[in-house]
Amino acid sequence: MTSHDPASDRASADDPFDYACPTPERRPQDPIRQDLVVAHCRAWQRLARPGTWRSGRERVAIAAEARAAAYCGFCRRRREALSPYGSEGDHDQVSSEILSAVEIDTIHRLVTDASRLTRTWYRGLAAAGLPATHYVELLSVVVELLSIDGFHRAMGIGPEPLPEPLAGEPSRKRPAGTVEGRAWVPMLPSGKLSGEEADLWDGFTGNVIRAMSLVPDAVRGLKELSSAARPLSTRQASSETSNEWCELRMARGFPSTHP
Amino acid sequence: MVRIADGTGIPLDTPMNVATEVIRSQLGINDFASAAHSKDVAGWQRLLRRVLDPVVRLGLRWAGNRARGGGSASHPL
Repeated sequence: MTSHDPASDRASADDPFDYACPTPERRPQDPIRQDLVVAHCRAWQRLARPGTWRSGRERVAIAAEARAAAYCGFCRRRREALSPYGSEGDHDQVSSEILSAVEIDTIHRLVTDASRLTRTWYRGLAAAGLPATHYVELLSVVVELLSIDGFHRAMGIGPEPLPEPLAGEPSRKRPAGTVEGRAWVPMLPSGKLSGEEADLWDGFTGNVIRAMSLVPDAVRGLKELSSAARPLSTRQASSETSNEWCELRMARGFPSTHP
Repeated sequence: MVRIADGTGIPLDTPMNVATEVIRSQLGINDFASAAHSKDVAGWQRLLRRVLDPVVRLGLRWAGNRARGGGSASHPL
């Protein structure tokens, strides 16, 4: 049994990301920049809406499962095992009515043991009913959720209640021109893009951005959240901090581009 | 970002792979399983790095000075 039921948080989501709210456990000690509040609210709106391959109900279920994974006893045991592919057991799960067993296991692995994922494991997902498109969208939901939850934890406040899912159908639009081979998942090529994906990046971009490009809206969402969450990549960065950062990178032989 | 990299099996970007080869080796980062996603640095890339390294360092120092607020071509590096 899990000791925490994230889905039960949902009912109290009246005023998302109200960091000035009077409830002490939801009010951070330090002020929160307004652009972060906006980015978090927009991420929650994205989470509730139908995505490219998944309904709003599925997306919120993925987020709930990602929270539950942190308390999963089976994941804890599997993480201690020499190999994460030999253990058998049942996850402490909260979304089994909405998500398949392979989706739940994938979410739990991504949350608790991502560094031991392998190409062989990934190849098995499609055969088990989780195609690359759906996998990339699932990963984007997990990453956005963990990013915002991590911020809350760092600020000493509880997790934001998950939003109520909105009705509607996924767009099911796969971008043309994805290429295979550089990563496990197909990606759009680096360089200038055209058509509906022209806004994703301009010229050369890093693989970590391209990695999610099979679902262009995932790239857009992560870029928005990332630019608010990482002040070093925005104009809000203080010059002193930027300078210290650059000097640190120089001293260690890293290039100056922000990760 | 790390979770995206782990979850999609992307390699390091080539410039980063070449520029950080030595420090990754010193820190033992190449011993992690996911390091296998990235290709080995070729001999010509090492040579190019050696040539470009002083220029890159100057550029980084210039960027640091610019960020400090005195940034211009006339600012002493």
